[in-house]
Amino acid sequence: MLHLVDNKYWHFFWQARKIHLMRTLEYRANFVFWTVTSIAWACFNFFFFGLLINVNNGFAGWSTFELYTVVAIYTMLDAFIWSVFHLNMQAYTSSIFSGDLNTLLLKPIDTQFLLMTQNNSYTNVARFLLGLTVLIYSLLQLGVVPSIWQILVFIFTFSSGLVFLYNIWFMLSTLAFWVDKLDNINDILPSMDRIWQVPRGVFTGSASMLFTFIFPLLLVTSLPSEVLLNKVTWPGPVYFFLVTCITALASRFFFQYSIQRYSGIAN
Amino acid sequence: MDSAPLLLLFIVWANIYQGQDQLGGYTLAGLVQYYLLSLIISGVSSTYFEDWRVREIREGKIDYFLIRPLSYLMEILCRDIGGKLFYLVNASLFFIILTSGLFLSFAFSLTPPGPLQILQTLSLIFVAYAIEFLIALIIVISGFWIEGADGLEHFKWIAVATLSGSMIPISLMPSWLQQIVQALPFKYMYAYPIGIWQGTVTLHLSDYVYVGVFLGVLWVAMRLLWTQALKRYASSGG
Repeated sequence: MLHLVDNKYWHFFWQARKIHLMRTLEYRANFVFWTVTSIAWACFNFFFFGLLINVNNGFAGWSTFELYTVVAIYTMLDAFIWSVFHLNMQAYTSSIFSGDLNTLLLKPIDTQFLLMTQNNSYTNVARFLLGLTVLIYSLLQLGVVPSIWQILVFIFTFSSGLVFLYNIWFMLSTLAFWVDKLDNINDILPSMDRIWQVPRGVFTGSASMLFTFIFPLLLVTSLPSEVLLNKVTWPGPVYFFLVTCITALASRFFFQYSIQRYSGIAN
Repeated sequence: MDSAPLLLLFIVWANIYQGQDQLGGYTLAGLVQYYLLSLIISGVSSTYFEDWRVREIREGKIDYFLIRPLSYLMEILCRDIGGKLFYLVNASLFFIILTSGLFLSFAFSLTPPGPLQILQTLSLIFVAYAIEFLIALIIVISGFWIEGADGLEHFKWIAVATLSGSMIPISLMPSWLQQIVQALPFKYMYAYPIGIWQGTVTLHLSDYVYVGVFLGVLWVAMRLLWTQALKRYASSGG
């Protein structure tokens, strides 16, 4: 958290973004192609959920446009996950297996910060904007005009969701210190994304308990949607924030502990 | 991990079915069986080699195959089938457990298919693989001309998922989409083999002709592209 007030970190962060933007613009045709591909997947996702939603005009007590709100928020999160998390986690686990982590550990900057800010892609920006557009359209269709307070809580829960997913993924990737050649370790969290693609009312019984309280993946998109749609019950965001803080500490501790057994290879 | 999205889909459908016995002619048990069969067909027919094969071509790494008695295209086929068999053997135990669990949960009471239905379903699964493989080869060969050809596989996945009935049965689609799906040959990949197994679809002579012509067109297109590509190909070093 101290990094947030340190200018050195912000300077590095923006320099890295600038370098990646320059790289992206160097191969513009490639950028356009992958942006189109990303939009195509987002459209496909909306289309697929549209088919499911329209079979019975909603499900789990959520109407058509309420469900589109959830899918829109999922799309925005997904854009962020593929633009930032996926690339950096891939680079992180590769650097452990190849021994390149040595060079990062020697840099005069926090290694975890460096690991999570060194890469990014701009091809999912359009996907994020598409999700935002569908979100605004759905709210207009529902006649919902969120207050400033709701928007602030929405941003807070949305960010908590991102940080929570990052923490879980980072802990999974850190397992690479302990187990050799875990090739598909970075596929685990993305393969579970269907869980937070639907409102939490879809799950009942022990599954609901598991994914709401113990391992609250369901809250990642459900909470921001509920905040905007005035469906939220107030302990929810507070509980989720606490869980996010705990996972942040746990991922940090696990990383520091794992580094101690890292011996590196070659140089 | 392949089954995680499928399990969630079952939960979503269970929610959609609340208070209803049938939707679009499907009971919930029938729909679960539909997705299980879809999972099997996907395991057999889906191809995922396009991106690295395109890279291989662009980096000039196929010289080795061009001077050997085994053609490059045959090598792709053999390796793909080998990989698929390995995957299916590995996945079969998990699939048996999944199916048994679902049979117990959803109390299936579905009529088992007859020998002719089984034979027709199996032949259409082979057709599904042939269609997907030929399209994948066309994408790979397009790497000789198109720089971003490795990304074209995404459009193949989207097209197949939307137009083949793999993600939702045809009768549950909106009518405008049903008309498009019925007109195109991708329905023979998922919707028709599953429909035959479940006894909701019967094959006619016109279906055999249509699918045969479509496979023929794909084959000719692939061979033409390959011939032109070889004339264009050049690499250096070794």
